[in-house]
Amino acid sequence: MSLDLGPLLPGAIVLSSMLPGVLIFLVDEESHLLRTLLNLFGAVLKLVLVGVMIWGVWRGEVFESRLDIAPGLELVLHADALSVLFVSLSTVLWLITTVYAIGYLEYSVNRSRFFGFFSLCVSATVGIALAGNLLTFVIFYEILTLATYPLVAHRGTPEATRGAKIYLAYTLSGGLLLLVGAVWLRTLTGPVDFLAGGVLSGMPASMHGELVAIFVLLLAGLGVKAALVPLHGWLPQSMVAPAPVSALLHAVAVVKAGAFGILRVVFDVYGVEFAAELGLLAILAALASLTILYGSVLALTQDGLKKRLAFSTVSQVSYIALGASLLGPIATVGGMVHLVHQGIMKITLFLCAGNYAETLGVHKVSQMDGVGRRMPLTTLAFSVGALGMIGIPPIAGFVSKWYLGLGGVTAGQHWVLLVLAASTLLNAGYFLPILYRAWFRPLPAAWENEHRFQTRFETMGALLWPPVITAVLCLLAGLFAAAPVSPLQWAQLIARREYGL
Amino acid sequence: MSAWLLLVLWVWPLVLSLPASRVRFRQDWAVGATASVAKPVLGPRRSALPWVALGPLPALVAVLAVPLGTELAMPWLFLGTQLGLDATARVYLGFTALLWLAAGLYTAYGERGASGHAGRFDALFLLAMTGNLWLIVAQDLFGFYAGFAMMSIASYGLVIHDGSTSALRAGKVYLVMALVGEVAVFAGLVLLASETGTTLPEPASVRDLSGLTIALLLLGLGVKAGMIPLHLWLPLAHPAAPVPASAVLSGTMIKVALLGWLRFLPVGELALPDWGHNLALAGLATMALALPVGIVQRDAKVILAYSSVAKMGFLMLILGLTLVQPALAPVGVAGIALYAAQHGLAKGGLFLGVGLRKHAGAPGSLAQALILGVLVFFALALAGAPFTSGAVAKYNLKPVLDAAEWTWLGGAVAASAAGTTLLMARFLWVMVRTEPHEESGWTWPLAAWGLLLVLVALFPFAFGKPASWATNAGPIGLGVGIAAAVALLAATRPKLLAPFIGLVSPGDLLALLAPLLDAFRQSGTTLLDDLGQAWSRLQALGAAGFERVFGTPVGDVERGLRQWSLAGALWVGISALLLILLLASRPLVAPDTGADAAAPVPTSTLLRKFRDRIPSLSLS
Repeated sequence: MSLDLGPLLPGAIVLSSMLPGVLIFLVDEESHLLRTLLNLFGAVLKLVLVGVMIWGVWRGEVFESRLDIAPGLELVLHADALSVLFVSLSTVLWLITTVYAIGYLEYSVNRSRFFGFFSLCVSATVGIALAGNLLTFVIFYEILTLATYPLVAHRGTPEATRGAKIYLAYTLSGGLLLLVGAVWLRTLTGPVDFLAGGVLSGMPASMHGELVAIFVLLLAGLGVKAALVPLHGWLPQSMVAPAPVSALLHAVAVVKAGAFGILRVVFDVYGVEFAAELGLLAILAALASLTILYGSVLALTQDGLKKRLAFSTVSQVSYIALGASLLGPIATVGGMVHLVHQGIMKITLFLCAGNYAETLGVHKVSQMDGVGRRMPLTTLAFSVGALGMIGIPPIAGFVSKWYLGLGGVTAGQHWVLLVLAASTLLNAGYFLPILYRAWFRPLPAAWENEHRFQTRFETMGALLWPPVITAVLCLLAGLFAAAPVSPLQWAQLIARREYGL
Repeated sequence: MSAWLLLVLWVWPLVLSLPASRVRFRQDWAVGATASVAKPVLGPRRSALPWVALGPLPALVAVLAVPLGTELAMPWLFLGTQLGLDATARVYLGFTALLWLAAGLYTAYGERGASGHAGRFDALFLLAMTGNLWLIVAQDLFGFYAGFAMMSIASYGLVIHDGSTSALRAGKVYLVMALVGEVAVFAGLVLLASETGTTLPEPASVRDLSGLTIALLLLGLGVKAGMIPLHLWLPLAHPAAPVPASAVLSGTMIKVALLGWLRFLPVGELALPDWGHNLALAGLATMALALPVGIVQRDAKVILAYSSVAKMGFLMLILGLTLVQPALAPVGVAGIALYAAQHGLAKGGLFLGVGLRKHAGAPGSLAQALILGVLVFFALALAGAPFTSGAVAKYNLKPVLDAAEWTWLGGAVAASAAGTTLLMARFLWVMVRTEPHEESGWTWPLAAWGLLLVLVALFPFAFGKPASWATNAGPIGLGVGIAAAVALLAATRPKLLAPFIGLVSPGDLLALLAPLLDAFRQSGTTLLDDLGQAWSRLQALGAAGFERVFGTPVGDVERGLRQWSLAGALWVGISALLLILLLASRPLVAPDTGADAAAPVPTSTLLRKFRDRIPSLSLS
């Protein structure tokens, strides 16, 4: 490679979806082909660039773009192993979701607006992933909030507007707390660059009180997006959004940005050992465990399929926080790898839920009798996702669960096994009845609102194949977890670097 | 080369489950003349091949062709897969594959209930088979656990196959208990991996287990083994499931618990007198409860289920005694595997026989007479009558029983043998009085049954010394005597014994637990409902407050805009302020290169602190 891509690549990755996004706003509503081309061009280009980056980071190359926006304020994009994990996840899932969204919105209006913001949303996510210091992180975090709002409100119904407002109120407040925390921290230490192992451990003991307060602020700010109880209220409300947006919120961008931020703050700002010394990990562990159980209990009570999935997200995303809250590389691997595993499993579930709604008009669990016969491929994909969430091997979820459990026990925190056991049973409690209905109950005489596409399969191709592909990814991520190129191996690479092993 | 068979033997049934499911993925919408009349054909595709019976074939080949001690390491598969075949695994693989083959033939050609769902049953049957075979050849605990989970969950579909209310209830009990057991096994395996540092457990490498780990493994696998009081699902699931599913449930699936214990506990390495005695007592208690409760049952399959529980109790007793005295391990482990094999084959034969008695041949025909005769043979083999497989298998375990410190054990075991004989007599009594409804086309199921018959009949001569053939003559004779007396009594004075029949309902303790569970569920539901209501009320309150601040009354667009601009301005304002702070601030601690930092002006501490942080706003 003669051309030195180092300083260019991170910026190029962010721009590869931002520029097409801006162009899409200008595209005529009826220019279906042009819009689709722009969308796919951006997605595929990003995928290629990310591929180059993975290769480089794996070999230990450094990619960094810096931009002075004001004296003393630098926009830093920096690719380390953790960013690459998140960037690859969002890039791959973005491509899949884009294809799905093109099919899903086939008969919808305002598509240019939708896809424009859709692209901006992913650019912001990638920016968050690549952010090299806290300030850059905060900026992209806010852009993500603003870019997602029009997507949640897309349908324009009073319900959608209300959900979107709630979303905005929660996330803007969260963003503000994050900003306050970031500024406070900066006044203490100067620019906060993310560095494996943390940058704060050298702070004098007199400042530890302030550092704890800052951590709480940052956690509150990030916890809103990561849907930590009691800051999760917006997530079920924003279920009014179209299915691809829900998938994006839950699996690719928003919730993940929060969880990713928590990982960054714990590992690369405070440093996990320093955080443990300050007693911050205990706070995080308590919150995460509470969220895991609370989300699952509420999921049990939901009849709306998407709401049930939303509460399941509340619960599952906290596995990531739980992994970050346990000292030791094994638990870290569990948390990091769940970032990816939860993403591919949850996107599968949401895309399937979208298929049921679009094809049959089925929105509720109680209407799902016999869907397995009518839509076998979709339901197979759904089953893989659901069993993976429960943690049934050899699907990806089991790998996360194993590492979290082993990490907890290794760290001497045996209660983690209890949390995992309870979560497993609760997950089974709300997912298995769905599978039972889908596969074992007889078909109803007629569906709520059946939509017949002129295809050879159960539904439109653009709707059918994305969840099938992500379900296959769930299986592959689990079945080949120990193979050289798997999310697990990458998570182990990150853990090695964070702990300096 | 033959090592790869260890992989093929469980991947093959997994692959077959796809065609066996007979799902129509293509729905041919355009077949109708216009879109409006097009209606997808959702019925199952026709299936030409008996997929379920083809599933265990590679496993059978592997039993014969793969040499002992073969290993196949695939570190890239799952979390590091290691397949292998040791002596125990080979015995397990042999009887498991044979039983799945027999049950598969029965399924393919004999199973006709709920015809529209045959594909679903076949696919789940093959998935359960995959799990069962995988866990036998897996030497890593991940493979064992994955196979175990796959088998347990797929079997749920087999249990509730006919969709009746009782089947659904049985399925629920089964699934809940299986999941709880699985969670316990998961926790146990996590602890095992953390305490021993290995994921390839074998007795030599698991010497350092803590009490918690052993307890979790014993209880978790105990659910599958039917250890009292974790056996509740067994007598419910067996009668509910179709005949071939019951055969494999009882014949192979419950036996994997023993295999797990043999792998994960330090059998033969370490004396664990406490755990050993506890396990042995649990086994004795299991036998003591299962035999009398089984005898008063009405349904033949429930009787067989209780007999399985009792036999598992016997094997738990043996394993417990082996844990007490490690020196017995070589005899004990081989004996347990052989006993599991003969019980599996005989129990499979009995279960398939129940189905054949019900459907193959007209009442009073020669075929039915033969079926009854073969059932008598299987029953004798199961009870361990002399010259049968049961007697030989028990003879092999004699050293373990004789070495026990409990002097009364011999009597207890003899009593259990007599009890088993009575149980089998009761089973035959119910079978004789079952009225067959003839259906045609039972050639293949009968052939499969014949295969089991031949295997069980040849067993003593293949595996036993002549000295072993006469084992058990005493207790069995006693049992047969009592049974004959009771039968005479029942034939002459039916009223005398009638009150005993059905005295205890299937699932015994569950009847006691049921009110408790109901109360629990009631309170749980109420709690959840209340929680949900309280939650939605809170939400409504929150939303109302939110609407008051941000809401847009219909028609008043401007007000809405105003509010938004206000909120937006606030937000932008605060953010801007913070940014200014950020720009202007200078770190307190970080090494500052600026040498021009002004010397501190003496002021109050508070102000100084403030000023230090925001130099540009300082008053100097």
